[in-house]
Amino acid sequence: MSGRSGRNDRGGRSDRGGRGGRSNRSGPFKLLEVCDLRAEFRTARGRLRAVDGVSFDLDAGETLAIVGESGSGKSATALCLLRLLPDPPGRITGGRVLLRGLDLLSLGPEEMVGVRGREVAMVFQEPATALNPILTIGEQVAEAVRAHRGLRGRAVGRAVVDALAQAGLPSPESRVRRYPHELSGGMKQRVVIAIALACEPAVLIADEPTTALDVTVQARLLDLLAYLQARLGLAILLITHDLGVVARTADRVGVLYAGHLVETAPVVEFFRRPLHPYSRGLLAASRLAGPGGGRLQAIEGGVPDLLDLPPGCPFAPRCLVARAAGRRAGPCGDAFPPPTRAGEGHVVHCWYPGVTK
Amino acid sequence: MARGRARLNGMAVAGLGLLVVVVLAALAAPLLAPAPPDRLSLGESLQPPTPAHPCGTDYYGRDVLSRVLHGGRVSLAISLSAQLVALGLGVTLGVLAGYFGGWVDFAVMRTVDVFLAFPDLLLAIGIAAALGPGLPSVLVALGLVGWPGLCRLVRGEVMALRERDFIQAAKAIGAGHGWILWRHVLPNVVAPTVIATSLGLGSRIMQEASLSFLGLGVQPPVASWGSMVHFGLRWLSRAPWLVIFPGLAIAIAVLGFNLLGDGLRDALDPRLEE
Repeated sequence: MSGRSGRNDRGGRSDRGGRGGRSNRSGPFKLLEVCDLRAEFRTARGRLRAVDGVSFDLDAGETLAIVGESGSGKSATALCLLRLLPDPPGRITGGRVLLRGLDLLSLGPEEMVGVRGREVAMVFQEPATALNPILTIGEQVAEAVRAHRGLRGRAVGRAVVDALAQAGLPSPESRVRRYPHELSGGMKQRVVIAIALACEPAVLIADEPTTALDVTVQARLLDLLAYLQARLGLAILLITHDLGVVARTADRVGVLYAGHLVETAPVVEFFRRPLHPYSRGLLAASRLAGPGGGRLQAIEGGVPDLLDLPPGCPFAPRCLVARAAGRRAGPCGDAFPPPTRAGEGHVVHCWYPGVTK
Repeated sequence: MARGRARLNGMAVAGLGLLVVVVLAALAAPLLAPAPPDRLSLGESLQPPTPAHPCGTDYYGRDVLSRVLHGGRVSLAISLSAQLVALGLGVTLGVLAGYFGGWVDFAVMRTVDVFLAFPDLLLAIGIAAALGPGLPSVLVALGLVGWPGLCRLVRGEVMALRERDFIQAAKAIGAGHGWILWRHVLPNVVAPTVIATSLGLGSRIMQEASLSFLGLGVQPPVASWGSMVHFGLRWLSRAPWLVIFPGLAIAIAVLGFNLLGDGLRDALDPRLEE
């Protein structure tokens, strides 16, 4: 894992010192800081605001889980960080994505190519389609190794085997010449992880990395990610809808609803004291012990139409608290609530944080 | 083919066999031909097939078999070169249009539309006539006729590929456009391109023959199959072998390319599997 030092000197742009080894702080800047990120899709029916004012930060060695339903903007947020939102129809319309203080949104396309993989890498949901079917897995890992580590010749082959071994692929030497369809889903996902980590990134975005896999394989891959994180000091942005995965791996949780990050909290705090009604609903609807107790409870209604969002808090139409407050003409339908700080690292956007009905 | 899964069916093998015979015969023409193709022998004018001249002789007493064998070299070489021109244009523009979309796609595809608006042969005749008869103009004409179909095919394939996760994944590890096109897009359009090329070669042979038949193709004394039919036509009632044998050669070559193309499609295109 040499070659890690000196990456900060590239291009002389981010000259703010190293990341402080594997420690949690990295100088005056957070490793990754997202401020008021906004992105939209232009559709035939109008502008769809997929990401609407999302802010969070992430430090080395830390895992932030972003949870939310389908269509809440989880994947769009992830793609924004790499500037890979399909354009058209997608477009980042505002905010900042600061990597060690450097705004990725201000970089030119060429500079961004240098960031992808090398600084921020991504693991995709579906390992079956994230690999090119007509290249051997060795060739695909080698691409990443060559591009970002400048290795040539026999050193490439060794680095490929190392990367695959590090990702826990059994007998990597004999598998480098295999094609993706010859491997199981779990092994394919290990190859995808090997490719992502072959570039020695500082930040790993994992977009539902285990959703397509068996439960037992899921557990082993999550353990692998945790192990690699401890060893490499990776910052992981874990995108998931599975609160079990969150409880197992995350340090902090961000809850995304209709493109808004409605609550951010340390993981223990989140499960013990969720403050946003939607967070409580998610917990009550999962099998993990939530405030609802025994029975699973569904959240009434569905995700709102992002093209036709109500003014104010997007959750208000489904929110029991808002409904109760509405009888007294509460503010829920008028404006999106400002952040309320409810403890160390616990931020919630709700007019009535912690109020139950 | 690369996946070791494809097994060629009987049709494709038959097509391949025909082509091997045709190509070998053309390559070995100087060895196989009973006489030099241009040797005049006015005493043997318009002889029917005999053991000395298995395919007969033409008005000038030239051996038709020798001329068919040598004409095959010309016909095959022109078709192959024209198809390469079509491949170069069609694949390059198709990949760029499909991958980048937007105004690149618009410009390329509207040009394709213009080309496809003319019947193939009419377009080839127009271009060849405008450039004047001769080999280079046949090449240009047939290449320009062949590329729009290929371009449209490749562009469609690439547009589908562009949405695949592994392209996105390659971008996510910092692959530039050139790298993605070369390593991930091009190899994935090889199979459809091979199929289209095999079928296209059949069409090129036909079109070359048509142009030469109309007098727009290769000029005497060089002979291609098409020009042999063209010059044999005036003796059709007295010496039908002048037309029959080069015509047969055209038919066999086209049949071979089409059988091979169809067979390759069955073997390589998973969408056609039952």
